[in-house]
Amino acid sequence: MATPTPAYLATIRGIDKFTEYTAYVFCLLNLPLIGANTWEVVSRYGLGEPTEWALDTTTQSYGAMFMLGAAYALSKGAHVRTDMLWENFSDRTKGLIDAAGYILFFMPTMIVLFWISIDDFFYSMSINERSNTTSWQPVLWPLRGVIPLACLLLFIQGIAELMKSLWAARTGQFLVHQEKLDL
Amino acid sequence: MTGDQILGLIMLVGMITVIFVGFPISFTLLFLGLVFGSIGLGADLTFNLAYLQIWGTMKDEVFPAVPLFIFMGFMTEQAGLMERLFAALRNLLAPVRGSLYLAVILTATIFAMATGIVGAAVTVLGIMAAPMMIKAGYDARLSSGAIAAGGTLGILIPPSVMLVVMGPTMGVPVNLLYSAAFGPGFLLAGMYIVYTLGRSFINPSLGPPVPKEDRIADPWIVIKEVIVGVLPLALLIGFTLGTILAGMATPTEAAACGASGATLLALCYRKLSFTVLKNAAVMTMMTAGVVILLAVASNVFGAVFTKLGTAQVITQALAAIPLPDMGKLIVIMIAVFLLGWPFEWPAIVLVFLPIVLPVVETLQLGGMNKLELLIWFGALIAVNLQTAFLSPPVAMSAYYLRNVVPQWSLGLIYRGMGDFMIIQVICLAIVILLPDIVLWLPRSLR
Repeated sequence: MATPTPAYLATIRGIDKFTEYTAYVFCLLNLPLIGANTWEVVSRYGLGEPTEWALDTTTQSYGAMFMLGAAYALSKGAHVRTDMLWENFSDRTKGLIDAAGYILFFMPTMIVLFWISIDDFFYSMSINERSNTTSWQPVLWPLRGVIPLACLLLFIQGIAELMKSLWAARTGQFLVHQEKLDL
Repeated sequence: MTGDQILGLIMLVGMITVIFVGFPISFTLLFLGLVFGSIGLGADLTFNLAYLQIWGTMKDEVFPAVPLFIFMGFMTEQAGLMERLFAALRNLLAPVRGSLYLAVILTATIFAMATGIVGAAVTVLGIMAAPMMIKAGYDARLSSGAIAAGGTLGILIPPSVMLVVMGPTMGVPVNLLYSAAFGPGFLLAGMYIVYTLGRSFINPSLGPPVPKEDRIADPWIVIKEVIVGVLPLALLIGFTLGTILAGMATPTEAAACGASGATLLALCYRKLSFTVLKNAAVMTMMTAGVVILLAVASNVFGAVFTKLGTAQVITQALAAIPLPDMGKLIVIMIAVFLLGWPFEWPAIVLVFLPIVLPVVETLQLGGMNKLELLIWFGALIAVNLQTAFLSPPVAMSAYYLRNVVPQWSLGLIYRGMGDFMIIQVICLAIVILLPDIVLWLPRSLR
């Protein structure tokens, strides 16, 4: 069996690790998401005064969490596929399809989305854009920045996935085993 | 048809063809939306449209309930509550014929009220119940079907994540969809129970009572088990779902309290550790990433599709089918049933549902107003998609079960699930014929 060069393997492992560690940071967004809403209920019914900040905290931490979690999901092979034909393909065929998909679909899409969202991020920062859902009015540029950041992280992880699928296309064997996600 | 509409049709057919090949659906939809939009509408308009859809989904006020219910389910599972529930029910019901079937389905039904996804329910039930059922000489086909079908109730019975996703897609409040899904959810669970117990009564060899020597003789131990293992969970469920139904809290707020409560329960049962917390947080983020990114992608795709004008053409074509309204509904139900074979629920709810929705809105059935019609339709879709988990070749339940119960072959599990799929279809027919099963709770809450 062919073995990949150390540099090839190191690149894949390095990107996987990078995505994993970023995921450990971003999953902390669960804290404000759960905490803000729990406190909102306690405060509204227990103390008789609703908070001003719970709603914005919720949408911001949720919006950032799922976008930034998408790259980690990619590294775990969790994004939903149509399995009907896929399950019966050989690993070589799977590698070929994925490699084509990453080059033709995935990477151009991420580049375009990065490019159309980065301007809005800079603009939002320059005018110090604020949320107007409540009187709390937190700044919005961090959330605007999540879109290009998510595209960047997805793109980086996409490189590792492309390398994995190219290897499978060449040798008929996957370097990394990925499990289906329970939904 | 205009050129744009034809382009949209090509886009739709292309999408279905391409996603069948197996590349992740989210990225395929994003790509096709951007490309076809740029051709038909121009790049500037398309990019604006795409950005607005992404931003809009990120600021959605309903979707945050998705990760929160996932977190809650994961925590209750990690707290070992399913094991406790099953043990308590098993001992309580031991003398009944087919008691293990009953314990499996009741455990699954109650657990379904604490979790929003099917997740590990089938796996956990398989690990706990299957060895006991095999040892007690239970019928393998009926056992595997009961575990697989029971385990999928999580996606129908509130707090189902599927219903949270369906709410914004259909423009219906999630609390109404929740109140609508209780009737069909309990009906289906009841039908599973009637089926398994009925067969055990007719033929006791299919599911004998638990042997005397395996029962717990002291009733106090059983009662204590129920109080320690079941009561806290029941309170958590009652609080979470109760506040949503009563309109006291939004689904997001209730879900957050549920997540906090489940974490507290895990702490009390001494199952909370740094690893458990980390896994729950990462799993939650990942699952939310998968489901909601697909929502983003189908919103981008759908926005382009609508703007090209093709959605309108399809609606008109479907509306012009010379069938009475009930016939149209049945055609849609058959289509959803068939889509459940190759596709998983996120793809069906997010990608295909919006295409038929305008037709559904025009239906005049049983004197229902439009809101009632929509929540009834949502409940029908939810029952219908139960079958998607049991229909090969992508029956997720079969794979989970096969992994943990190697004694049962995949063919046997499929036959067992096939029996329960028939029950699901009968349940769907009942709910179509008797909309009151869905509507009594939403009506009585208003």
